[in-house]
Amino acid sequence: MNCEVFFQLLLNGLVLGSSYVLVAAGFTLVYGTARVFNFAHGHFYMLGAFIYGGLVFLGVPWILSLVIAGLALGLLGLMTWHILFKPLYFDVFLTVATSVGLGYIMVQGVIVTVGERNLIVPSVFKGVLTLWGTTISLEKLSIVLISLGVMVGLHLFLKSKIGKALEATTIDQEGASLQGINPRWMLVIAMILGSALAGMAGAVIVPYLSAQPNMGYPITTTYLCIVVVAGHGSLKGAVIIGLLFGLVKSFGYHYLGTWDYTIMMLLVAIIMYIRPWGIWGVEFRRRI
Amino acid sequence: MLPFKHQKGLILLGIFLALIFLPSIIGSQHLIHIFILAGLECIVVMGFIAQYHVRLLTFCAATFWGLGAYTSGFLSTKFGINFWFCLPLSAIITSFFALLIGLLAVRAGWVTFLMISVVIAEVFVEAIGHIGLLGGWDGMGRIPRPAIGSYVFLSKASYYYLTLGLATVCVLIFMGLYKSAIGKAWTAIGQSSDLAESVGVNIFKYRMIAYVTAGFTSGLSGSLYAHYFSYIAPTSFDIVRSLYVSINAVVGGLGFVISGPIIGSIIIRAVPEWLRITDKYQPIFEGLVIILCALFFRKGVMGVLSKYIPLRR
Repeated sequence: MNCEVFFQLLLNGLVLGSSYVLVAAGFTLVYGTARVFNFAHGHFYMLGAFIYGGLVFLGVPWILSLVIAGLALGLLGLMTWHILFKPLYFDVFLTVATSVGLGYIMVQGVIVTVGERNLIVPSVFKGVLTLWGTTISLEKLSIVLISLGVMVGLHLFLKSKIGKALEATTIDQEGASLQGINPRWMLVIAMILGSALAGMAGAVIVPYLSAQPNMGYPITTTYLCIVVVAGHGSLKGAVIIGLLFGLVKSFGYHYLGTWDYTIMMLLVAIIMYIRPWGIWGVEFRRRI
Repeated sequence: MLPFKHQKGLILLGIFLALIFLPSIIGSQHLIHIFILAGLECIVVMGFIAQYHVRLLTFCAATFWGLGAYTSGFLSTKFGINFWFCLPLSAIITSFFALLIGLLAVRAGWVTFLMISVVIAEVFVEAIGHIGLLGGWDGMGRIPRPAIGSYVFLSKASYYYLTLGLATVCVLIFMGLYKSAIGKAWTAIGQSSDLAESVGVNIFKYRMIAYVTAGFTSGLSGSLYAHYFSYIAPTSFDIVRSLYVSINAVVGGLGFVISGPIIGSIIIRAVPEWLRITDKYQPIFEGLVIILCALFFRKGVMGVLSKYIPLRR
C-alpha cells in the first residue's frame, strides 16, 4: 500500500470522524438524558455551519464565530425544548414528528434566505506541514485539533458537579431525583449542550465540506447509526464509533467505491439485531 | 334528526358520491392530478396508521411503496407482463419482503425497530441507485399505462377512477381487519402491549399481520404510482418521502384509522395548491401545519371535525 495515500485517507477519516463525534455526542446527550428523538439535530448542525460561515465572512475571528455558533444553537435548542418537546414529552411519536417538521422549516428557511447553493468558507489555517515525508494540510489538522479541544471541554464539564448530576439523570431519573437532583433542569441542560455541540460540529467541519442547506439529511442517518451502535447515552461509545465511522467512510470509499455506504448500513443493521441496546449501552425502557 | 347509524351511513354515501363525480365537477386537469396523488398516498398512510396502531413506529413506509413501484415497473418493462398481473404480483412481492424484514425486526424493541426502518429506507435508495438493471440513479422509464383490451387509461379522469377503485379496495381491506378479531387485538396492543400480552394476545403475530398488510397495500399503491408517472427514480422513495407519510398521518388524526389518512392526504396535497403556495414555501407550510397540529389539535383535523359530525373511525 502506498504510504502517502494511506496517511491522506487516515487524515480524511479523522476529519470526518471528528465531526461525526461532535454531532453524535450532542445527540447522545439529548437522547440519553432528555429521551427525545430529535430529528432536527442534523439541521442544527447545518445551521451552525451557516452561522459560522456568515460570521467569518463578516470578519469575526474564527474562535469567536465558533463560540457564537455554539451559543446560538444552544439558544435554539432551549427554545425547541420549551415550545415543542416539553408539552409533547408524553408521546414519543409526536416529538419525532414535530422535530421532522422543524427540520423542514429550517432547511427551507435557509434555502429561501440564502439560496440553494454551496457556501464555501475558506479555512483560516493555510499551508502544509511536512512530517516524515508526508504532507499534512493544516486545514484538516486544525479541524481535528479544534474538535479535540471541544471534546476535552465537554469532558471537563462532565467531570464537574453539574456534569455528574447529568450523568446520574441519564442512568436513572427517579434515582437522581431521590439524591436531590432536579431532573427537569438536567433535561434542559442536556438539550442546550447537545444542540450547542451540533452547532459547533457544523462550524468546525465547514471549511472542509462547504455549507449547503441539505447537509443535515445525510448526517441524520449517520449519527442515528452511531448512537444506536454505540449505545444510548454512552459518550465513550459515541467517540469510538464516530471515529470508526469516519475512518470506514474514508477507506471504504477508496477501496469499495460507491457501495461502501450500503455495506456499512447493512453491518449496522446486523449489529443492531445482535445487540439492540448498543455495544456500550444499557437497556433502555420507555414504553410507547 | 335521523338516528346516529343512518346519519353516519348517509355522510359516507355523500362523500363517496362526491368523490365519484369529482372529475366532472372540477374541470382542471391539474386538480385531478392532485387528487390522484392524494389517493395513492392515502393508501400508504393507512398502512402507516395500522402499524402505529400496534405501536410500530416506522420510517420506511415509502420504501415499500417504492418496492411495489419498482417490481411493477421491472416486470412490465423487461418482461412485458400485463398491468393486471403486475398489480397483484408487486403487492405479493412487497408483502413477502415485509414478512422477511418483519421476522427479523418486529421482535426487537421499538427503538431498534425505528432504527432498522431508517437503515432499510437508506439502503433501498442506495441499492436501487447502484443496480444498472433497474435503471440506477437515472430511474426507470417507459412504463406503459394500464389498459383493458384496446382501451388505455390515458386521461387523468380515467386514471382517477382507477385510483378511486383501488383506494376503495384498500379501505375495505382495512375496515374488515379493524372490525374483525384482529382489529380488536390491534387496539388492545395499542392501548397497552403489556396488558394485552398478559391476557394472552400474541403480540408478535398481530404486529406481523399489521406490518405485512401495510406492505401489501403499499405495494398495490406503488404499482399504480409507477404506471401513472411511467417514470420512477430511487430518490422519489427516500426517507424524506417516508417522513411526509407520517406528517399526513398526524394531520389527518392518528386515532382515525380510515378517515384520518384520506382527509390528511387531501389536505396536505390540496391546500398548498388552493392557497397557491409555491414549491419554495411548501415545506415551511408543512412543517408549520405539523407543529400546530401536534401542539393544538392533537387528534388531527378529524378530531376537530368529529365534534360536529357524528363520524367515528
